[in-house]
Amino acid sequence: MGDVGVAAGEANWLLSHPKYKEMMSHGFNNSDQALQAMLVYLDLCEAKQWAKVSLHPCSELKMIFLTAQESERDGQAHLMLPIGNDAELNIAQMKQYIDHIKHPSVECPSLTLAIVASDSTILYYKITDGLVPPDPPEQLQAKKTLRGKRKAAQRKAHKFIKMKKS
Amino acid sequence: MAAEPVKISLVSNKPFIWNAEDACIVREKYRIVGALAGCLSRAPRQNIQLGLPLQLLPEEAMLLLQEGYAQLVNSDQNAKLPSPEQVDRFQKMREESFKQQAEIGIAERKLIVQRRLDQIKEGRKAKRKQRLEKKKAKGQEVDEEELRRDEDKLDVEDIQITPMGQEHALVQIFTETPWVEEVDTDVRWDFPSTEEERVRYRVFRDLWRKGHSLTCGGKFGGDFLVYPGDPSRFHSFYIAVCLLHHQTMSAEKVVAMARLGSTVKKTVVLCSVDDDDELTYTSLQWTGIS
Repeated sequence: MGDVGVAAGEANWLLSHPKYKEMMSHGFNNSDQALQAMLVYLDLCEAKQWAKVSLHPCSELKMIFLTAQESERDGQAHLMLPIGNDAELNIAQMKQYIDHIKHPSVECPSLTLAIVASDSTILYYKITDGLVPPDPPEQLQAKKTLRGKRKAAQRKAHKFIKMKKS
Repeated sequence: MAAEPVKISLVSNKPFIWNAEDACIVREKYRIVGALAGCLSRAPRQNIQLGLPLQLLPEEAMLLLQEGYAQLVNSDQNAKLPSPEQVDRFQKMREESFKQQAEIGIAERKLIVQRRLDQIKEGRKAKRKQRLEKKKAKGQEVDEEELRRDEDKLDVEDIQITPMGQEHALVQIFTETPWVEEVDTDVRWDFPSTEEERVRYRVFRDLWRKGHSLTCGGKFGGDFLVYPGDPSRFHSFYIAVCLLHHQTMSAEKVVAMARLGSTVKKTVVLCSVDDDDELTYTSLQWTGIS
């Protein structure tokens, strides 16, 4: 993931973003992961318009993680750990992630891996300790519908802003 | 243990069950599914429906053995030359089978005759008439009484039925050999032998003991498919992927597995044995965020 930083070089405004500077101040010496965290942070805040998005340091892992929830009303907060899509993972490591990524304000048994590709595509996959049965079909459908409605509302809001501007 | 152990024979190091009752027992009583691997003798030119023997995964066979539900038997013994008593028994069985078939054959033939008795009567009458007409034409003396005679008295028993020849007898080919009186249980089987196999076996045993049914997971790129009940009645819940605890894989591979799992509405479960020799399960799911 180093190439993102190198390609953009000094001109990359991301590197002067206060949040990025804050992350670097933890002294983890892990600029790649901080950059990935930055991309995830922006994706959640700007593109997905999630609520209560914040960045936290994890001193045990020397990594940055995020807490966020899908909307103000939806109380379910998520723990997210940004990693590169070229990262090598093993089960021992995933266990460590699940054990160490914790935040007092968030009660969530699972950890969401935000897998960042070099083209800034971000994939969100959930890992949980133990056996988690798949959602029953009805619940799956309900989730889909809810998400669809939320997206439609977002699109409408965007349109409205555009109209106002022009 | 009340029930007699199921016999599992090793053929080229692969476990098979040859007995039909045993195959049912392991499925119904012990939740061991296996895969039918044999050709159906009634429909040999297809491979959609298969029959005995039932091939077991090594994990399935080892579990049955460890739980005391089965015993390994030596199947090489079948290749031995038969004893004179066995030859005698074989001949008698053949004869007995032929006799039974011959009896059934005659009974069936009689039924057909009974059904067509009227036609037969008509036919015989017509034939005799023809014969007598011919005689008359040649100027020979004909008994008019015979010409008018009816065939009413004809009965099924009067009609001669040719018995079936030995060459037409059906021969039973057994799935499980009936010629071995004593089972040889002195068999060595090295399973599990590698670290990967040990992990697979422990995972299989643990999930089975939790009450799940398991089958081979190749269809979805995993080691096992885990069902909440018999696979004929349920969709599987989990795709179990067995890994060594420190075996690395790329994040892309994790994505590939989890995405496939979510597409088929299953949870991918990464299974391994940790450094404290404890089994660990890590569920992998797509969040649906995109």
